[in-house]
Amino acid sequence: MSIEAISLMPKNKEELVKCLSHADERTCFAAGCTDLIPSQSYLKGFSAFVDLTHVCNMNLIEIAEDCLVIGATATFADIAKNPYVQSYANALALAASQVGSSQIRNRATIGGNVANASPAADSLPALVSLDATAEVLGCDESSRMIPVMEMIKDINVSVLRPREVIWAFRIPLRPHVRSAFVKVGGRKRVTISRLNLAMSVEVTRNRLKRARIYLGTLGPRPLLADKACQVCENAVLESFPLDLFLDALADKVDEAIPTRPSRAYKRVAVRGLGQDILNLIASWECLH
Amino acid sequence: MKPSAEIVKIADKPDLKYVGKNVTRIDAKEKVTAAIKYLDDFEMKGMLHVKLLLSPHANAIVKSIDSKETEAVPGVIKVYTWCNTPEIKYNSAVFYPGQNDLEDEKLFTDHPKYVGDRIAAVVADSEEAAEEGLNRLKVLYEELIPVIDPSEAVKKECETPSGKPLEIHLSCGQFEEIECGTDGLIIVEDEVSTQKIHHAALEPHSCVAYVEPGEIVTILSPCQLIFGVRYIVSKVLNHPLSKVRIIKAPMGGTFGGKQEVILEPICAFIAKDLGRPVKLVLNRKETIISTRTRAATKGKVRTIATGDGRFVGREVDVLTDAGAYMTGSHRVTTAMGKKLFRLYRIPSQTFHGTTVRTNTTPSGACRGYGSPQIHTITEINVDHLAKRLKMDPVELRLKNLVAPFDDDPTGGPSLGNARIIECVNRGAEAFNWKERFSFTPKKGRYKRGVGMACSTHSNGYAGSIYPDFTAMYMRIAEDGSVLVNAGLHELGTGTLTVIAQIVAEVLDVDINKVLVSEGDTLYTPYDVGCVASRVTYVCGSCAKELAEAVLDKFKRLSSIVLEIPYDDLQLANGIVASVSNPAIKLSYGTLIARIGTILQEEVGGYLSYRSVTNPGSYAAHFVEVEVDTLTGLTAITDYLAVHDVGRAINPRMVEGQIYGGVQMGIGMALFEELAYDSRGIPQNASLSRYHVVNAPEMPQVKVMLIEEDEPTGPFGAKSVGEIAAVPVTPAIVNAVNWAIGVSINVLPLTPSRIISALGAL
Amino acid sequence: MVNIEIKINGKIKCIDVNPRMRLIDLLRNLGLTSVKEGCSEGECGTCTVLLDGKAVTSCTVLAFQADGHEVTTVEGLQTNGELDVIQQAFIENDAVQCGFCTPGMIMAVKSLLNENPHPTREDIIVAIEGNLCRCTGYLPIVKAVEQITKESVDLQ
Repeated sequence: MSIEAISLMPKNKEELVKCLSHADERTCFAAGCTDLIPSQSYLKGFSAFVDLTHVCNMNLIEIAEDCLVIGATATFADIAKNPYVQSYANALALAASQVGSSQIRNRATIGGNVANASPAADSLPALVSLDATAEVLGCDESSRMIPVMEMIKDINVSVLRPREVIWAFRIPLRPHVRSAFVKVGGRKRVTISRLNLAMSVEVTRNRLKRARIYLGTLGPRPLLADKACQVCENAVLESFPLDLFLDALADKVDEAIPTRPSRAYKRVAVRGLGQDILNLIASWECLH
Repeated sequence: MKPSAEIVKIADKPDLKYVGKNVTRIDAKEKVTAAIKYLDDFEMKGMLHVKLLLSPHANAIVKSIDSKETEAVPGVIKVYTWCNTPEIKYNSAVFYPGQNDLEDEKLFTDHPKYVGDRIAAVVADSEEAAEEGLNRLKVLYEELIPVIDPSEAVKKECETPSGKPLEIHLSCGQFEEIECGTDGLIIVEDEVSTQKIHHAALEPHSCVAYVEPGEIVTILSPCQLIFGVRYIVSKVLNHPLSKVRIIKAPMGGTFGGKQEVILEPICAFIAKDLGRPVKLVLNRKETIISTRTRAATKGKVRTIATGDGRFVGREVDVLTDAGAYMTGSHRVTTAMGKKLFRLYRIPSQTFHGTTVRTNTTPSGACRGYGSPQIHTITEINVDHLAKRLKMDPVELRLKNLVAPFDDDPTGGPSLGNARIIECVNRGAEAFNWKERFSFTPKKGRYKRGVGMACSTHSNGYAGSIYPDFTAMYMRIAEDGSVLVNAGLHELGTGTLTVIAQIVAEVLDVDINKVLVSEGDTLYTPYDVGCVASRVTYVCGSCAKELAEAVLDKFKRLSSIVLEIPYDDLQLANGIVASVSNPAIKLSYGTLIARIGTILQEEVGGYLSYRSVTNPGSYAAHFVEVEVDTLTGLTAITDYLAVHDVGRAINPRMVEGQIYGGVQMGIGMALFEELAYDSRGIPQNASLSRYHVVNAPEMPQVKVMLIEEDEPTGPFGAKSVGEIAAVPVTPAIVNAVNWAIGVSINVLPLTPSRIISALGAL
Repeated sequence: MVNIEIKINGKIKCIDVNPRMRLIDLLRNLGLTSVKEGCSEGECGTCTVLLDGKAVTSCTVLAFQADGHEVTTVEGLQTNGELDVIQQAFIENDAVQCGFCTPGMIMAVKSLLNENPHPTREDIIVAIEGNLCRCTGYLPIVKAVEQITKESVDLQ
């Protein structure tokens, strides 16, 4: 028989911290549950369920100083339609709008998506391309700041310790930044990404600088498309070296998954995603 | 018989009240309010819950089962395995005595032959206890090497005398004697593979069974053949047919998936053994791996044609993957062969079909029963020929399609009023085919192209070895309402509404006063079942003929009690009136009561109806696709479905059938494939991994109905439910192949297959 | 066991639930059988209910998480025996065949119209993208919602 479990429903940060101080490996921090329940892992092992959806202010999306702060229990529906996110972190807004179905987006949270550390997670490359940092809350009310890239230890394993939860994500506000996200799966919508791509870049007078381009699904963590970033550096949108850029993305796929059967497909598909993401970056002003 | 010019268009009569009208389906309200209770919504006092232990191995011997811990779980009542259940073997597709399909399946097995095969059942007083008991069963397996590829299976089975693959040959003319090369004949060959498909009815499989006084084993099942279920259950339980009662339960979709007998004998046996009601509801994964699938096929086609595009001969060889048990798979193979002779005029044609077992989920019925597979195989080949001849594929088809009242060259039933040429001509015009079709792909990343395909399907079993009869009772009650007792199965297709429309039309009563029953083997007369696209055509004909007989009887008895000559009576609008004396007007109810009082007779009748004709239904689908040549995603950008339905009893419901059929066909063309690894482990046994067509993938579908009346159909009607799913896949494959200049012939056209084909150019 | 207070179809209920119980199980145990289970992983949408007015798949929500919230199912749609406009439009447009997806589909549409009374066709499709229907090809369902939208515009 599965063991008896208790449930806790902290209402604020203080109560959450108290829960954290009592937590152990068998404590399940549950928010959207859209991955937890289908995996059936909730049925076994855990002795306590700590619901995060009632913690006030944990789902806030706000501008604080030089950052866009997105609470860990903000749902993908909240994120997708939030004007701040659309303006300052459009890659994340686009990723959020393509997670699961409308029902799932009403429930699934960004904190859960990162903590679950799926290689196909759509929020990960978007957050990483935006240079996001996770604010991780510990049991002594202290926070440690961890770049999202470093949140991922391995496939489906994050660096979170048993007495930690993600409280929020901080995305620095950079001037002139444009960002976008694209993905491809088995069908247009409600599909697990076979490949996804996120990009942020500073654009002044149509000149690109400091591009951050990340590919998802090719390994445990989003993968920096370094050569593609280099191609972008100082390039001008009107005379963008598209072929070089797409070749660089394809090469990155070859390098990342030299022996996987999916390589042949992904090295072509990434060219499509590359074109699409550049179109989104180039048409930024029309869209915003 | 080749009449036809002077067919009376019955349904064109202006005074039709219900036939040809968009009558609202009679169960719509209970469905939008969720008042309808599907089996999982249904509870009985003392009901026990059953969970099945399904094999995790594709081929294995069970060395031992230890159920001690299971039996110790509080609430667990009993564990069933092959040791304490009948050993009797059966075939889940057999529905009548004398059908001799290979019997190779048992309730439970100690030699599981696929992942999902039934090893044991745990019965408990709650679902949780049953689940817990299942988790505690200790089973030791000895794994054997599975055979997944049907081509391998053929080689293997031929080596073992016990397991020969089944074969079927059909032919007309003299294909072997066609001499090629001499007079400019062209040969085009193709090999096409179609995949295993999960039906994906939204309601997972379920069954309830209990025993009623008098040892009546009663089963509630959302099934398609109550009498077929009765036959198998009776056989497995060795219990008289009269004491096995099957009640058709509300059905949350089937598409053939619930046609064969799967859970019913297990539930029946346990209910009888324990004397308590039992319920078994599968979850999605169990439904995907352990029930039935559309049979995968490998087809080889060789078509020989003249230089100007006339088909001279065709040779088709199909290998059908039956999965782990023979089930109805060889019937599917046979059905595929028969379709080949009923679409094009081909003087010489031969079909060779082979059905072989593999260590995968058993195949069975699935919307179209082989038609989607065989038409996909051959219609891809027709476009290949068009490419070779540099001839427009529509023009090529028009040169070869069958004409109304053609004969089946293998001696099968007449094709009836077969209007496929009209479907193609009118469809091509409406679709603007000539302007849109192109032999060469366009430039650019996104390539658009059009394609089309034709198909035919049956209207029942007539002309085959299977019985095709049905029987009904019909009675008019003292308030003028009408009760039709029939062994019908409402699958969501609108069967009950259609029968009510036909009866209301003939008797000329308010349709709200007509009640049509679903099947209950204890109370409704025999019907073969909701299979073979037979219900509107066969059961509808029975209802019409019986209603006419009941009307005649009503008129005769009215004539007696009213003392008015038969010919002077008019029965219309629920009123019996005298033509000569307008003062005499009585409601049906009043008169029925008077007949009951005076003559002491019930106004009603019973008809056992035998279908002897089996015309073809026809369809031509036209599609435009847009292929992203980088991501490999295909979008359907335009769709036209043209159907020769004879006559639509309910045009809006016909459209609904076509929309759903197109949706399933798109799934087969682009998304759906139940895949196995080399160990036979299903790779996508969940709806997150097995993609069906969701709303964003569905194009706007235009429907065009050709209504030229089938003289043998009720009010001219023919079938539509199955054929709607048939031409879709080849039309899409052809469109993609034209759009991007490839010749993909392995389904489905996944993004990676498309990219790989483009890479090979 | 944990005691929760939850408003279901307008009525407040105090219920003891196991922390592992899913919302779908709680609702079905209460006899709200409009909530169907088709996939158990939030993929098919047959278990869709409204949680504080928004569509969620109740098979991916733990029951205790609904504490203090409001849940609406199809059983809560009719007012004084009158069908909801969505139910009426589904009937009129033949948006129902086997009926198994219907309650979840109706709730997904309800969520959409709560938030956006004048959705575009695209909005409608996204709203029901998580509700699978194997019978209708979705077209009559989209048409039904378009009819509601059009009628509400006509009224204004």
